[in-house]
Amino acid sequence: MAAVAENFEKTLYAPEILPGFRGRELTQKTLRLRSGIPSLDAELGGGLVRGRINEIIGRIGRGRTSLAAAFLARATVRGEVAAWIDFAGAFDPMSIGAAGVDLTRVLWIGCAGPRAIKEREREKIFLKAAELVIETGGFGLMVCDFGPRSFPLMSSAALRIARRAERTGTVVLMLAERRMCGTFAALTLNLIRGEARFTRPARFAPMLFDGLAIEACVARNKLGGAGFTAAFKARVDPDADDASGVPRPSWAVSHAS
Amino acid sequence: MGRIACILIPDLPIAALLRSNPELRERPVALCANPAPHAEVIAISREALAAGVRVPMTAAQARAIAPDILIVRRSPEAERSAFEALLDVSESISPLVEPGMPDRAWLDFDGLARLYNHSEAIDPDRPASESGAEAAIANELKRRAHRVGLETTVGVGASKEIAYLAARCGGVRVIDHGREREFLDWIPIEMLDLAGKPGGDLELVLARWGIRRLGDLARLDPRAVASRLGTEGLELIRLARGERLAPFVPRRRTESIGETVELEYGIENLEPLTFLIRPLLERAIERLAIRGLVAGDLTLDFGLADRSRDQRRVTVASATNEIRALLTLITLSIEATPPAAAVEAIALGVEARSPRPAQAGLFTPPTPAPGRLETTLARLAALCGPDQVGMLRAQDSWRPEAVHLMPFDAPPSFTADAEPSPGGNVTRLMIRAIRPAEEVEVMCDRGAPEFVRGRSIAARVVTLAGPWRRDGEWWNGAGGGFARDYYDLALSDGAVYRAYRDRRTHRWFVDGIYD
Repeated sequence: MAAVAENFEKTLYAPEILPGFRGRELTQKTLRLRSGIPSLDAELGGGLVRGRINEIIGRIGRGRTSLAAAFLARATVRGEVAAWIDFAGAFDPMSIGAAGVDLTRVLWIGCAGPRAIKEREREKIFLKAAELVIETGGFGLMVCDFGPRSFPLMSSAALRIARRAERTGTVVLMLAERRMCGTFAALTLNLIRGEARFTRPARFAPMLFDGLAIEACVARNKLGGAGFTAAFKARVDPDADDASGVPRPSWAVSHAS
Repeated sequence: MGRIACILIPDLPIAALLRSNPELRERPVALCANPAPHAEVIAISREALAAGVRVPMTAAQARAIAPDILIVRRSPEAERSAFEALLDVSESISPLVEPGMPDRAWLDFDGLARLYNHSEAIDPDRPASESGAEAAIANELKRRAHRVGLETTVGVGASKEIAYLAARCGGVRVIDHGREREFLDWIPIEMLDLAGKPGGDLELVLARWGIRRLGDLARLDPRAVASRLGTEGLELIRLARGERLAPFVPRRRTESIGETVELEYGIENLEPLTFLIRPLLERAIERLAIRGLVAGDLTLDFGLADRSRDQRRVTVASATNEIRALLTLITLSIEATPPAAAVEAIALGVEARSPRPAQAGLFTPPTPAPGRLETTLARLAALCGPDQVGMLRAQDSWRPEAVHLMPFDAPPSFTADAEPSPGGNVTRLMIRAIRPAEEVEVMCDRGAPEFVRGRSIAARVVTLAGPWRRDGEWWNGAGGGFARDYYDLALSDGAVYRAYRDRRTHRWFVDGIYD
């Protein structure tokens, strides 16, 4: 009987099984969401911590959407439901779907609708939408894409999101140019380099866009381990043979997937 | 022998008015067909009766007797809403309901005592006899009617007629099996409302014969009465003896809830209009809630001051009973297309939908509970707009900007057989869409882009790939289709953009940033 109970306990607290119970197990550091990029997961201690706010910061063009899509793909493949709150209306279902994300499990919420509303009003809507989603419970991942917005959230708003995330066990992922949640973020990943790579498959052949070489630095980690850097690539055609170095053109990849 | 219950609204015109305007409950009120001083009073409230007003005085006479009396025009729409609410209440208790226009409904009570035996509606202190259980269910019926703003009386008996007469006695009255004659014997003839029926002098004839109660009538010889009073007399005797006359015929209604209000004045502003729609919505939601249903799409039918109508449909992304979210959707719809004239009547229709049940697994990742998710979706749609919430999918098209929004309906959770193995330190590159595509000015050298300048971009081209030519949708007819040359442009600001040149207009656009 004791052995059965021990097995049951082990199963519940296994890192990759999110239990349906509320309480201390929801905020355990062992519950992580992986990106599927080994170098990054190793630096993060296994992935993003559940029930906490995580930030990916860096200028647009340095690969923060690609990194968020990697986490999103991993979450939906595991059978979780995710939400993407889109401040700038930049969600591209074609490329996100090509990344292996199950779009039927992603709730998209746009805040850049046709209604003529002020920027400040849109921010309020964005935050309210985030609170509503996280309050619902059952979402494994909530991505808040702030677009080019560069000034931080009010402490009260960040605190509300942090508390609700802790209660529901949702991974909150903020994509922004700068840090948004201050002390309430458990992890801040700074994309310090996103270098564009072009290749020419043969002499006189047309140039092809290969992708970005990205370096991510753990700028803040409440759970320990800040200052590390992980390097990885975001490629237009990740399935291209590295030896031949011939990627497919960008248009062909997105439509073939 | 079956058991039938009758739920009755004692004074429907007044009850419907007080339901629409609860603030009038303590005031003397009289209803007239029109507001003219010589119009006859049709119905009066209890307060008006206490003040000495009687039917059928004229409005002027009523005002002379009770100066503070409020004369209101009768509203058939409000009466219809009240009747619909009565049917909803009935269907929340029994699956078999027969509507009896205009103020009553009959319910099949057969076997309900067993269904409700363990519910909280039954008082455990009462004897467990069937009539005790029936009285408890009847009380529950009356309580639910009160929840939707109706004061009712309930009677239970062996037939529709006995149940109706029991309801006419007021409160809740259950006529036990075998005691029907005892009950009918003391019923006064006036209670049968013979004056309003064809052959209205029947009551007078019976009074002349000295027959005051049904018991007196039951003792007469049917053949002798039939020869003097005809078929009506024979039916009266059968009723007085407790014999079943009309069969119980239950009918199913369409799954739509309607609430209506007619105004004495026109409303031109949004705020007072919303103020009036809110109680309609609350009553409709309450009617749905007692039947365990949730609200789907809404329909609004405004009667306007210029005698025209403004009909609109408000799509609810996800069924919910959240009043605030539904009201916001209505407000957004009215804001987007205001009525052409002042609103004088409001008819609100609510489509009834069943809430979705769900079964979660212990070892599968948790997913949002369907009920909570639907409420959240409705609130999000009200917050961001219905076209901003859902599942965004790419269309089957070669145009990258071709996307469409589908309703979000979270699929059930599952446990993945195995985690996908990491494939090296590589992930797929995403693109951030720019919607709508930003028009830019591109300076070219021998056909190759050299410099890009636009509203948010001004940078030199460092490296480029392309062009990739795309033509399509020309088969859609004249003027349709597109012809574009796409480029991947690495600019000196450090980002890589996806730009295209429209080969028909020779204009340049940027429609995405690789990120």
